Amino acid sequence: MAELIVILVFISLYGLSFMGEKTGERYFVSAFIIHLGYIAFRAWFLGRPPVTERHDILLAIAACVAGGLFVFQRRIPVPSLLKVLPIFTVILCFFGLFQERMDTIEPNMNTPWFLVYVTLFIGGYGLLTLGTAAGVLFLLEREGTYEAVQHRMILLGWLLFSFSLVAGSVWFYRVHGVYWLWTAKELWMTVTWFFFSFYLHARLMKSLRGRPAALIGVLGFVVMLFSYLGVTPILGSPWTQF
Amino acid sequence: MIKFFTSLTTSLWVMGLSMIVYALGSFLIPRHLDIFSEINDMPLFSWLSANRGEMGVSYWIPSLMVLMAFLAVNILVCGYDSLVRGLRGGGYIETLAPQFLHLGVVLVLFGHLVSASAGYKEDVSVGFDGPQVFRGHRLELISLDFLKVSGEDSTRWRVGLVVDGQKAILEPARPLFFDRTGYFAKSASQKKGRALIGIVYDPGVAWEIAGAVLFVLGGAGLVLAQFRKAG
Repeated sequence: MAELIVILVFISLYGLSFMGEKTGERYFVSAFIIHLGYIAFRAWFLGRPPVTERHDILLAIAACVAGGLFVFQRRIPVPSLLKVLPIFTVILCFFGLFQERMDTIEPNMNTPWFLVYVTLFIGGYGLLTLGTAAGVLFLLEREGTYEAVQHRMILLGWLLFSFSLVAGSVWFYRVHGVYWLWTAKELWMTVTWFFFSFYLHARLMKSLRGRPAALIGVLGFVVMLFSYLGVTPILGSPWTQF
Repeated sequence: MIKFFTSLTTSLWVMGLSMIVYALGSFLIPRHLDIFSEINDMPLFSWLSANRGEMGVSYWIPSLMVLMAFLAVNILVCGYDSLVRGLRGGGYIETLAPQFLHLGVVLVLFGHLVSASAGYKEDVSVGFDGPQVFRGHRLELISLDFLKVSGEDSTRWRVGLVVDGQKAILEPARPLFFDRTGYFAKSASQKKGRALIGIVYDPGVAWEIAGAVLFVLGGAGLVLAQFRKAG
């Protein structure tokens, strides 16, 4: 119950950061500090990095996105960042809040390859979400720098996501003797990978550069959220803990 | 023809169509589990041949293969073209890194093709009732240990196994690779004194690893190039 209250507090503070420039920033920073504190608490409580279940993974991705405020301050003004970052952070925290918590770990997940896989996945999804946020800003304010940030974030995020698929395949192969399964979940992870590859190549075309490519990049967020959270309940793919 | 394959528009169309076909497959698999239940238990071509009569719901798999083959040709032709043009203009990392990435993807696709056409994966139950011979390999269970660790719901376990004279301890996610075959600890029963060992021979794995290494190298090069650009 106490944990639920803490999560609701930082979600509310992220939500309140829309209020004015200085006040908003203060709310956002406070939310971020409590958010990090909660992740540290989970690590202490579990006695290992909190990366083995969706609740923790989504909150970690949200923390990566919130951290974007400090990384991009030099290139994007804080008021603009505060227009988009809280939205994505709240969405991710909100989904994380409703994920079932197990607090246990399967023996086959207690391996370095699994840790590498999930860590890269969190980083990849975090950067892809930051790319989406920059893309939304570009579509709203038409500032060229934002489009460049979107491209760079999506490129780096896509690379980390790809590396996570490599590490995940190694881990899965060591557990089950196969690196690929024909399941709806795996197929949608591939769709996500292709979608961002599509964006990166579309941006190279003169006719698509600018708003059309930025829009494709933004839509990628919907694809990645669906492939992570929507496939199991909507398509009926086997449930996974992480 | 060469121009068609070096065109970025072609790449975008192939990627777009591939996404649609993958998504279509993701809708069909859970709705036809009776047909797709064994697809992950055998090489893909064996499964396709055994389910030849089910093309009405598995047509998307051959379609996907055609698209992936098309994509591989597109990547190779495009890669060669940009390599020739890029090296003339200098900037080795900027030119080579994407080609490493692309070649990595082609090798991974080739690995999938090899895995789909040959190999086997089967589970064998071994007990203390003497050695078993499976596909010419002699398997003998020598120990079965269970350990309860606080904070973990499941009990940890490990299997002592002798494969063709080679002694090994297997645990979940800690397999034995011997004579181009993988031996995986799938499950164990303390009560029955038996362990389920997954035996896998997958000739595509080496290609997959080579592809993954190239991809990671290319990715690292691309990150380096981005940092250089950012100054």
